[in-house]
Amino acid sequence: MTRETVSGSHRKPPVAAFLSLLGVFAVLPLALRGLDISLTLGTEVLIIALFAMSYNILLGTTGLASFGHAAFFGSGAYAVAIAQQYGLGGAAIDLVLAFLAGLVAALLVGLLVMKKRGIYFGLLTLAFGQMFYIVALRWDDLTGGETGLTGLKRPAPFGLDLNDHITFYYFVLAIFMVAVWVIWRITHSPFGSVLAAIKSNEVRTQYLGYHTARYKLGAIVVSGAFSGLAGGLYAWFQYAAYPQNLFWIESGNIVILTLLGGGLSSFFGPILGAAVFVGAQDLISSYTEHWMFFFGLIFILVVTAFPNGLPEALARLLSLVRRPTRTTDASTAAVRAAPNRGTTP
Amino acid sequence: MTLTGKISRRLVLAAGAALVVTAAHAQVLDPLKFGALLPLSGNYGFLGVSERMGIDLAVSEINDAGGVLGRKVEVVYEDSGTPAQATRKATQMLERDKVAFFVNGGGSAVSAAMFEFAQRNKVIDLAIDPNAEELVTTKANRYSFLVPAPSSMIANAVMPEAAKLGKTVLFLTHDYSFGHAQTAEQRRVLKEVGGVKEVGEIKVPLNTRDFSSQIIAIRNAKPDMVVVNVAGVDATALFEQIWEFELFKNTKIVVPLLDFEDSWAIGPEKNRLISLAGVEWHDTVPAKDAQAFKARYQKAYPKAQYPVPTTNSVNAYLAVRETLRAIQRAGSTDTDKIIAALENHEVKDSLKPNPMLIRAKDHQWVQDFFVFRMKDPKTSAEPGDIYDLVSVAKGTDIVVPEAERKADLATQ
Repeated sequence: MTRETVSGSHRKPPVAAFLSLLGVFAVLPLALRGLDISLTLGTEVLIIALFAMSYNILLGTTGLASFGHAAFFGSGAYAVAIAQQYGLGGAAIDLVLAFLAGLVAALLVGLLVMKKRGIYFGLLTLAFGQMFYIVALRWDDLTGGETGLTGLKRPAPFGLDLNDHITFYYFVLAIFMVAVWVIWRITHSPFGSVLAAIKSNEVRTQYLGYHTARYKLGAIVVSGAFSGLAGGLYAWFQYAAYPQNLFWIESGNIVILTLLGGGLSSFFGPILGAAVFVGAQDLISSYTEHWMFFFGLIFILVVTAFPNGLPEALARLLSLVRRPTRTTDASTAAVRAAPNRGTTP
Repeated sequence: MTLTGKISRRLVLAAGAALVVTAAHAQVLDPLKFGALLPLSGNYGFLGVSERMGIDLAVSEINDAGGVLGRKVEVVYEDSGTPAQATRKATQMLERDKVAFFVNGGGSAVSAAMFEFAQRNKVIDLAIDPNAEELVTTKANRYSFLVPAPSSMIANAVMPEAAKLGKTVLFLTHDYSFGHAQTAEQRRVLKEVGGVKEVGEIKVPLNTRDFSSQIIAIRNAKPDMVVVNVAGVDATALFEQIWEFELFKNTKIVVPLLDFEDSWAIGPEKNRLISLAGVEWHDTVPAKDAQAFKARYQKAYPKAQYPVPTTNSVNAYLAVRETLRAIQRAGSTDTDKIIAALENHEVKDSLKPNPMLIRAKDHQWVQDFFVFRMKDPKTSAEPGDIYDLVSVAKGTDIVVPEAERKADLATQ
């Protein structure tokens, strides 16, 4: 039931949704300036949103909860950083390396976990994720150890100065839009339909003749590759790669914000989750160092009351204000998907 | 119903916007702001408390004396957290609060990131709690300053005294850059001094709280002394367990870098398990202004967690006071002018026996360092009186000579 909104196969791309997404992010810098908030926050939202969209290929589409996804994100970041240490650089090289690093890391982990499901899958990914973290922390010569690799340079593709906040934001936005488009195509391809079938019932999918382990491996690899890409952008963003990029807390954050955004039932949901998470982290932590406590409260509230995350919460609030007319022409696809509260076994 | 809802929402928005506007307006006009990124959580969380007290004291003293360049001084605080969080917060402080400079705590990883941030943004950053050598060598740059003593200075001050304690030594090393650097430097000094044989090294992962296996290994190795290069809350846990296992009865425990906070956490009685400790500052050091500083601290913080100012309060205090004074001397908040006013400046009221020198070559703040024994609690004059002075290491004697420093900030 839920699946249809996320990846009913061969659906036409929701051009309107993509355009409104682009529109929202295109004017975001103006809104942030009006609110006296740094544009770097917007850039971070984009990067984390890309990470969350990648992650949701596993969680939302395939129904696999990975708790070690920071490993792929961090691999991308370190790929860029290490390449720069050895004199390799340039926007294309950096991004391709980040993508490949996430892909290879995911392939390594995926080969070992592709036959697992449920709690075993989750725990194994957690353990492998921590192994990546320990390697980054201890291999001082390559990774810079605890201090990580700092002092990275942002490249200058097409003569653009990416050190400029606004240029960098729109550059990241361009990559983000392309990546999200590709992810949409993948999750709505025949391949994506098999992933959705695995989410619904893996055993039944096997009886249909699909080698589900291979499809799961495929999902992990695609997810890892785009996570790596996000990690590479994050290395540019931070001018550095840190062991914390690979830490399990980062893995946990991505699960939380994806759920918060309603990733289980909505393709665009993780973007909302990323915006709320990064925004809350920034704004609440300016008032109290216990921001995690308050964020935890928000998370518990949303997830217990609205299992499909913030889009559902918003839609329900809206329907309280207006009489329930159910305008399906809601501004974003995220909100549109929300009222659809069917649960898949 | 809907209508009133809309109106009140608009009202709230308008009021909010008005607030933002007035706040922004007030900022531009007067106070001189600087950013302080301090550890408020994690293994070094307790240090942030001390650092904040030092900073607040410096700021209130300067404000009471009329501020800097006629402007009132204000601090913007944030949790340093991870390097990534620290630089993100710093970016915001720079853009939103227009801070004139930064001080940062939170260890060497955060400091390395902040140093790099400072260079990129051409803004001054002073690291007030790390002891990592790299901050004055490979990571040093024109915009960054290291206030505490790095590993080489600590080793030069403590190890000649430690060498008198026995013939064999075992190192207990925190397994990350800080621990590695400490042990490497101390090995170098022991070799120079001669007469002490190393019988082993045990590496302790960060965030270790159960040390039973390490303690058994030390017992089996039977060294005359154990040199502890473990920091933070891990160190407190280690001391508790050394006490529990009575390891100190047959083996001398040397702690080249001891924070008062650690001593205070385990209490004066258990503190005596330490045979020799290196300390950056204590109120009993033979300096003219140390006791007066303690009195000001106690007056400002009658209910402080620590009865006497600690190293971390002092380093934070000195970093902020001297930078603000440099701004006053420079007559401007222009970064280049502040750097020029700081470089080669000698600080007479350093709270230590000898003046402090801010070296131009590597931006090391050259300060004295102290070696202490633990005091018998029965002879303590007051609760914070827990150390007996063994020796004063003059800053200029223990610092790596300028000629040997590879860092050359002038070319950057």
